[in-house]
Amino acid sequence: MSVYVDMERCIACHACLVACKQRHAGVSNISLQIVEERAAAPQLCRQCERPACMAVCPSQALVQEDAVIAFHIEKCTGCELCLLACPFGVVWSDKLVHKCDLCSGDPACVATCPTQALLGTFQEAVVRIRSRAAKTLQRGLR
Amino acid sequence: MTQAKVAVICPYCGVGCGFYIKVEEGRATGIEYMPDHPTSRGSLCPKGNAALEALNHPGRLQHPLMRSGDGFLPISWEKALALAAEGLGGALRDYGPENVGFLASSKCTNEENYLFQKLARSLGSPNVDNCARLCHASTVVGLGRAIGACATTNPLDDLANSRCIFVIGSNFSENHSPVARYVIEAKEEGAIIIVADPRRTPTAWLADIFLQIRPGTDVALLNGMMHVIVEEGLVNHSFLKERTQGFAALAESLKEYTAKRAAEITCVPEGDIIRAARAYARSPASAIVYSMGVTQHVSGTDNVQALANLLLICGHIGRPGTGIFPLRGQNNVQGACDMGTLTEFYPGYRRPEDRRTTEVFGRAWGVDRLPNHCGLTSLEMMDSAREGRLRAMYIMGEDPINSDPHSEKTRLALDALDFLVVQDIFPTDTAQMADVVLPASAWAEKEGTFTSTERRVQWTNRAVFPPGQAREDLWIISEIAGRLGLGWKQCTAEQVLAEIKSLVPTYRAITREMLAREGFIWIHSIEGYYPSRRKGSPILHEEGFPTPDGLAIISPVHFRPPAEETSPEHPLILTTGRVGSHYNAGSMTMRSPSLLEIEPKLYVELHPADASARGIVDGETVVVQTARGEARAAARVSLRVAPGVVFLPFHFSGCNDLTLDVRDPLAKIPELKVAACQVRRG
Amino acid sequence: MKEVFVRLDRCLGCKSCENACAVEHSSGKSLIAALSEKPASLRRVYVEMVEGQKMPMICRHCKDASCVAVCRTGAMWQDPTSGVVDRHADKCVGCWMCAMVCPNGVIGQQKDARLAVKCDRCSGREVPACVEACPTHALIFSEEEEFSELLRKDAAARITRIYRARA
Repeated sequence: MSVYVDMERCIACHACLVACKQRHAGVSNISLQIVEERAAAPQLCRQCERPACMAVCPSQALVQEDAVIAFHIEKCTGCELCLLACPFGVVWSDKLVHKCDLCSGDPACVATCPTQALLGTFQEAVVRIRSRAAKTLQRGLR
Repeated sequence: MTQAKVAVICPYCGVGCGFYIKVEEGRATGIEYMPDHPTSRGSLCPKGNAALEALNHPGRLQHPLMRSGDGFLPISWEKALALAAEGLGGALRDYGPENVGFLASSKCTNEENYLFQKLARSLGSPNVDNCARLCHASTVVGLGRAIGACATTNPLDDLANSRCIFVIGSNFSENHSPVARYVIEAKEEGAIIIVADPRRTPTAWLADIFLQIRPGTDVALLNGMMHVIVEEGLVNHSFLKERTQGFAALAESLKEYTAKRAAEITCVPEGDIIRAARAYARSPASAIVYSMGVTQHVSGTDNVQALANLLLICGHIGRPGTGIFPLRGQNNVQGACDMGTLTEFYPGYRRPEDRRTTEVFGRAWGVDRLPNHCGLTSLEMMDSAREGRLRAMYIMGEDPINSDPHSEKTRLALDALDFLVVQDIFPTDTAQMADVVLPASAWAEKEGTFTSTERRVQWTNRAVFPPGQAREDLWIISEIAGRLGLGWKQCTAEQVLAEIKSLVPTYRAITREMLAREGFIWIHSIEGYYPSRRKGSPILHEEGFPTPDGLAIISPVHFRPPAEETSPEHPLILTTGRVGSHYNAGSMTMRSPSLLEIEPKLYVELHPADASARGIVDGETVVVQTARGEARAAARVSLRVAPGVVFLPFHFSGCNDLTLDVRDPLAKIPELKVAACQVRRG
Repeated sequence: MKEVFVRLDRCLGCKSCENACAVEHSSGKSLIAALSEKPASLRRVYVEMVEGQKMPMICRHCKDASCVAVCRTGAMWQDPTSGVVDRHADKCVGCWMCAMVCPNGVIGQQKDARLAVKCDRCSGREVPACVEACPTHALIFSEEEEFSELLRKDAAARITRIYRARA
């Protein structure tokens, strides 16, 4: 499980970023970039089913625990290989690794998003996207 | 209070989101979301999320202060209140109440604002105003005149029922973020979204039709749209006949505003104007959402009248999915206006010139001769101070040096006063100019009601006590009143609310239970006249308008160009506005690290063509110059603005050094949205 | 190349296409197999209901596919000749970006195998399973020009009937 983004609803308000900071001692595990003044999407750890970060970690500091790729700070050597390996650039480090930890099950970003652009389950995200597309098609029919 | 979860209403914008503050050992330690809040449904924008950073900031004013040379000395409350009373009292005595000014706060509760204007008027001064003058004064005058009420007509979540939403001069995605949810819901059901704005904001991203309008040309756009609607036979004739007057004159005036002419003036393609007009008129339920982009102009009142004309000729009011949404900025600007902290209105929008007003309030307040005329508006108070007539001011929770246009004028004004007392929670630039500074309580340190932009009156609870020796505003106002000879007793917010209910018809039906549950949405009524047959419907104007004859007033307005045109010396149009991570003059958000990280300093948005013509690269420091002065800013080369237009966020000091203090003649609101400037490498 | 088109007026919402798709993509190639296998075989076509209208939602194998563009590992790829967008199982890391950007929401999640799952236009068959299963021929497997011609002929027939009735 991870946090899913409905890109049609993101209004680049940065609420997710600040909510994340409040939960993680001033550090945000979400990043937001506005592209060509047309759209934005928050980027955060995808909790990949086959995580590159976990694969490269020499000290098993990154471990799959149920839905989340958990980071165990006591094992971290600060080598930053995970930062290099992540294909999405969503592992950050200031000699201490930061990545989304799903807020122990109740992600703040999902709760706070004013437009519900962030969703906690795959089903919710995909069902909404699909039904939106279906509605658009259906309008074309009338 | 050892450990608790206290329900509060957000101190920032007019959406009025609710959330819980976690309190441990008397300190606010965290925020919890409120999923069953009727408007925000548990969400919060970045400012709400960071609210505790400002609340707990070490820079909070904790002691009463007295000016000493260039600095301040901490003094006791006894001394501070005595000085305040002496300063104000002396001016009242020597120069008369006409020459003493009171600036109320759109951030303070209804109870605090009510007491504040009661103080001013009981002392004989008609000069009580608030920062609504700078933002929605055009709405108060323009919409009030056209449809009899100057507030959002439908609840915010009703936007999800619209089939066409026309957004003009509003960037709700950044500044009223929960509104975007309802607009998106409408859009996902097929609603057409039209956005008119000089900038391609995240609100414009939602648009099906984006009208990138030249700043200051709103009347031309709206008249152009109405011309199309009239010509193509899309007016709602039955609505016009039954519920309005004045259409004939409007129809005549619209003849010259062909879509072609409108396109020339507004720089919006003719085809888009026609499409937008058709979409708005044809949809079964269309809504208008607007904000500062419409109001902050020398033609602000006209702009609002034009919007009213548009919705009236199509009959898009008084039903679900329709209506007009002047999105109010502050958490309690709606309430502050309802409470009469505007010089032309007593509480409940009663006119001072009406004999019954002064009778009713005189009786209730035990004062013989209340002011029966309009006094000075906030900017006029500054004019009067500069000219040596206004001698003293009492400013509560406002930072006019940073929110007024042409800051220099406000500095000179405050400097010229004999006596200035400022009541605030932070040492703002305005507080720095005071003779006496009174440390007040922040939103989470008091209880009372706030009225949001959808007319929802909500009770906010006290979570913690104010820091140091800061005190609650109700206490401070009552103490000053007492020392100025008004025999007031100290009272609780609940007691003040009871008094408000007895005098303000729209608040009469409030009960504590209603407030505890979902807040209470007021319905406009004059002397018990309910425009809605379904009492308690949150939608205004379902059957009649609260105008003298129940009809709405359509009146023609003509395009007048902005006050300051571009010139060879200042060839670019400067427009100002907000960003989502900061709030107004920044007293709270500039002290919130999470928010400062997002936007740390003043920047100027300019189009790549304008940047390259000046050899400016993204990120470099540039100088923005107007006839009023200069400011240094970081260049942000962006496609958000059109060529020839630049944008500055006014939260940062320096922006309002550049803006123009020319005002709408009726609303007295300054044209903060248009000035002429030049940008050069710094 | 041939694509799967939908004649929306003919869809009954019977979901035969969904079943056929799941069966086709099971290893046992039978309904029992599709229901009982682990990992479960998932459909790649979805019949949505919108205001009384049934809408089969099928991967369009877009010319400029968002899912391909967003895939960081190269698991999503597009065959340049056939235009079919398919997924390399060994490269997929289950990040679900493709699912989020697909405008039609037709990429699914196979939790047990931890893979993104989408229509592959039944490469092993002459005609995709969903098309073959459709009882009303709402789903058509043809070239784009042929399908447009089909619609055109239908429209012409409708107009002619009305014209003739008037005359």
